[in-house]
Amino acid sequence: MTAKTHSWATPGSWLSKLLVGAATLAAASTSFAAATIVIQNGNAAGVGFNDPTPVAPVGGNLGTTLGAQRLNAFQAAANIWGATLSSDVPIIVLATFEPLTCTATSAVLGSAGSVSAFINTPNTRFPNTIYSVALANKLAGVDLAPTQADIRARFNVNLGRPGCLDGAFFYLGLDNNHGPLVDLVTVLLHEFGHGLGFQTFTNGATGAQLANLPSVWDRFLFDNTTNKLWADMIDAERAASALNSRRLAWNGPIVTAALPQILTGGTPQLAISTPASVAGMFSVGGASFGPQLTDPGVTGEIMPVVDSPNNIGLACTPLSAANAAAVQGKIALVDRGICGFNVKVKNAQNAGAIAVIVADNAAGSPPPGLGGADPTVTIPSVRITLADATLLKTALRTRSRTHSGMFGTMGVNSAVRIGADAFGRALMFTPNPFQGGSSVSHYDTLAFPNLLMEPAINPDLTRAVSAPGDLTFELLQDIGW
Amino acid sequence: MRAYKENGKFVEGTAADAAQLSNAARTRRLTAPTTNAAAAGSDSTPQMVYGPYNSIQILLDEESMVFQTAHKDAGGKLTQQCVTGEDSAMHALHSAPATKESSNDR
Repeated sequence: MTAKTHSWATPGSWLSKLLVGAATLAAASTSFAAATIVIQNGNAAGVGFNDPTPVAPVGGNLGTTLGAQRLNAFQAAANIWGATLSSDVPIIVLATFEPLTCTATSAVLGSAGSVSAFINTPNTRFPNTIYSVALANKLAGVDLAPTQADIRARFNVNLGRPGCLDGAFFYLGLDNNHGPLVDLVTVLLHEFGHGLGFQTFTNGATGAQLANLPSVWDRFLFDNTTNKLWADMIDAERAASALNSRRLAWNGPIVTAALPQILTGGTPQLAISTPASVAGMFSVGGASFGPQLTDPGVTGEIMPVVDSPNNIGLACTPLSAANAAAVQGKIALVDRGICGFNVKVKNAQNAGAIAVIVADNAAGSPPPGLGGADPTVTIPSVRITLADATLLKTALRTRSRTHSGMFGTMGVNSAVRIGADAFGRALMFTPNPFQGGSSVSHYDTLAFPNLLMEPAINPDLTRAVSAPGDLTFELLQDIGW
Repeated sequence: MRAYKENGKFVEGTAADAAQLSNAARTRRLTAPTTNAAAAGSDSTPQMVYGPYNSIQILLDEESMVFQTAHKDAGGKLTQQCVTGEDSAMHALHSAPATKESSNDR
């Protein structure tokens, strides 16, 4: 199956589609709350929202046909957003279920987004700045594009069928009891969030702005390295900023004020105190085994394991006497590769190490966590990036057999909330290499508890869209909602 | 001639309208700092039309849409990833999703 493309970017084709949609409208439902969100059924008779297949009620969704249950799930997501937002102008979501790209093991679940954007409409805070149409409507107090929908949503009608993520159907219940299935309401909350304005229209890979104008989003993106907002950067600076892992923050006062209600705990990190040439804070990925990192953490001298050519220390077998003498009572530095992370850590533990740093062997940042399981591991471990490992290893060249003079602390910095910067601003997702489409327009994956607008929808989301459960609405408020 | 909308109605634009819109964009390009690299990689010119209140409306295409993709691993576990643009979505279907969970078991 292939993804359908639509030439609905022109007013004429939109009008035609709306006319067709109106003609085939089986049910258009409306949420009356602080904002009115209308789900406009764009499917033809017999398919999608109009699928007559009888179904049993599921998770509070009392629709008696598959189509009705789909529409109920859409409306449930619209109700949540409608109860949260404030706007005098109805928000029209033109929605369809249709075949989208999929294989037996992967699929496009759906897509959504703003149909258009506006520049220089009434009551916007920033001139010459791009606003998504729903927000521009809200601020103007009138429907600026009354013949068009505001958000377009397409979802995969074949999901779960053979050849399309086999067996992984949308969960159409309204109770979030989705188990291993894809919770449609949560996916919709996320996608509607983007359609309402939770995204930049600037190309993060090149830094090029749409129509050579900043998105309102770009007026709040602050790079902690250059101390510049995206809107004040040139293209090359924005492209570099999009790769500046865990140093690009959301500089919006409403998100920053609400953040302490949500993001708990501190930020895991490695602090090197000496030598001065490498002293500083390093990002780390935590381990899924062994004890959790603590504040103040484990402090010790860092010594590398070397058991392979090119100063590599895989630690996949019990450490030699020389390596054991080197790491005894110290923080062992080992390299990723060949065996499981838990095997490396256990071997270092058996040699007397008090903690382990695993150096990545592939470029990229921020450092992912360490997977694996071993209940007998009793020392903490973290992963650092290849670039940081190279820096540390260079400084470790002057060590003796049992001393390096490099001291560090592996722990949690309680002063910095997880998913925030040192100034309490939410971090945005900026991996290196750039992840087309995910980078910049999401919260960082470090955030915990998990947030709705991270690039991956995590199964433990609660369907909250605002504080104290989430930070999505607060960001939308920062941009004008 | 591209149609544009004014006061809620679509009408045929005149040559003067097109020139004005083009000049506005050109003026902005002249004042906005750019680099050659960015220019080389910049997106195609978006379709812009006049909106009410002397505003400009940008009509967005599939590359501005946000796609939710899902992968199922050998154990049947699903991971989802959200990406912007159809091209990115197609790429995401063939790459590892950006989860916060521990990755790379070795």
